[in-house]
Amino acid sequence: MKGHEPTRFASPPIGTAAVGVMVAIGVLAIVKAPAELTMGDVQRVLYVHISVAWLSLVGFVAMACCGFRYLLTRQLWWDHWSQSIGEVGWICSTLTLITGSLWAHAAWGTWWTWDPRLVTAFILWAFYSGNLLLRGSLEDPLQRARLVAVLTIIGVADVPLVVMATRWFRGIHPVSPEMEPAMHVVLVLSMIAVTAIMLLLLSRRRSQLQLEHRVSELLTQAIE
Amino acid sequence: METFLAAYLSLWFAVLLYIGWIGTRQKRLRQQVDDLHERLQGGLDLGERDSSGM
Repeated sequence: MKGHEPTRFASPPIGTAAVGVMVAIGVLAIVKAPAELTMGDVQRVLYVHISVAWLSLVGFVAMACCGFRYLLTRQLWWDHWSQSIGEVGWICSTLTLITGSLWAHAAWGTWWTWDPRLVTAFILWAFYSGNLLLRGSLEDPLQRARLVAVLTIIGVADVPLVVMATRWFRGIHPVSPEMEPAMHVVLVLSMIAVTAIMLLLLSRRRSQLQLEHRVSELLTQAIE
Repeated sequence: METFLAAYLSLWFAVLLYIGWIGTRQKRLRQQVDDLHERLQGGLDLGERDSSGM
């Protein structure tokens, strides 16, 4: 294998498209979207915040589905999906808390408050983090896949709480932000763009995990 | 505007950091493949030597 051309992370068109999409989000949010009347430019944070927040929620549900499928079939293929979704989901969940804090500081004058939506979102982040820590602490792939699947299935109960927190409990987090049609267009485009980038990362990582597993199996056989 | 820029740049930072991390994993994977290739090559050479010796 030595002397072969090194494998690239992404083919140039896909990589270029990802960078283009990222730039487009910024341009759309600054140029295309009008400033909100009361919040002004601070409101533009929502284009990033909502895009990553929805992915962190959908990601956890997808991860739980993969975990459930793994427990049914015992095929590590599902665990590879679960792991790649877990990593990308953790990034999105972390970004949700960071961008939410930035917005809260500007809107409420505090970086953090014990609002039900914030607390449930933090619990989701803790489940994502626990998932990654559990993966890092276990050597046996089958045991790791089983325990992570169970943890994920328990954690998915938090997703409806995050979604409904603003309606079920009294808090200061807005239920749904009021937006002009032009803002809605930019928000939807941002959500599509961020989702596309995260799906690209996820699919690359999933292929890598599958390859890592195969190589590790072959290395074990070669040593034996 | 600086609040939005901070949020937007944190998205960039996270994506680039993850790409870099995947890159290091890819490098490690390549080393494992090279190792595997060398082991297989060593096994094949040994097999050829055994068959020519007989």
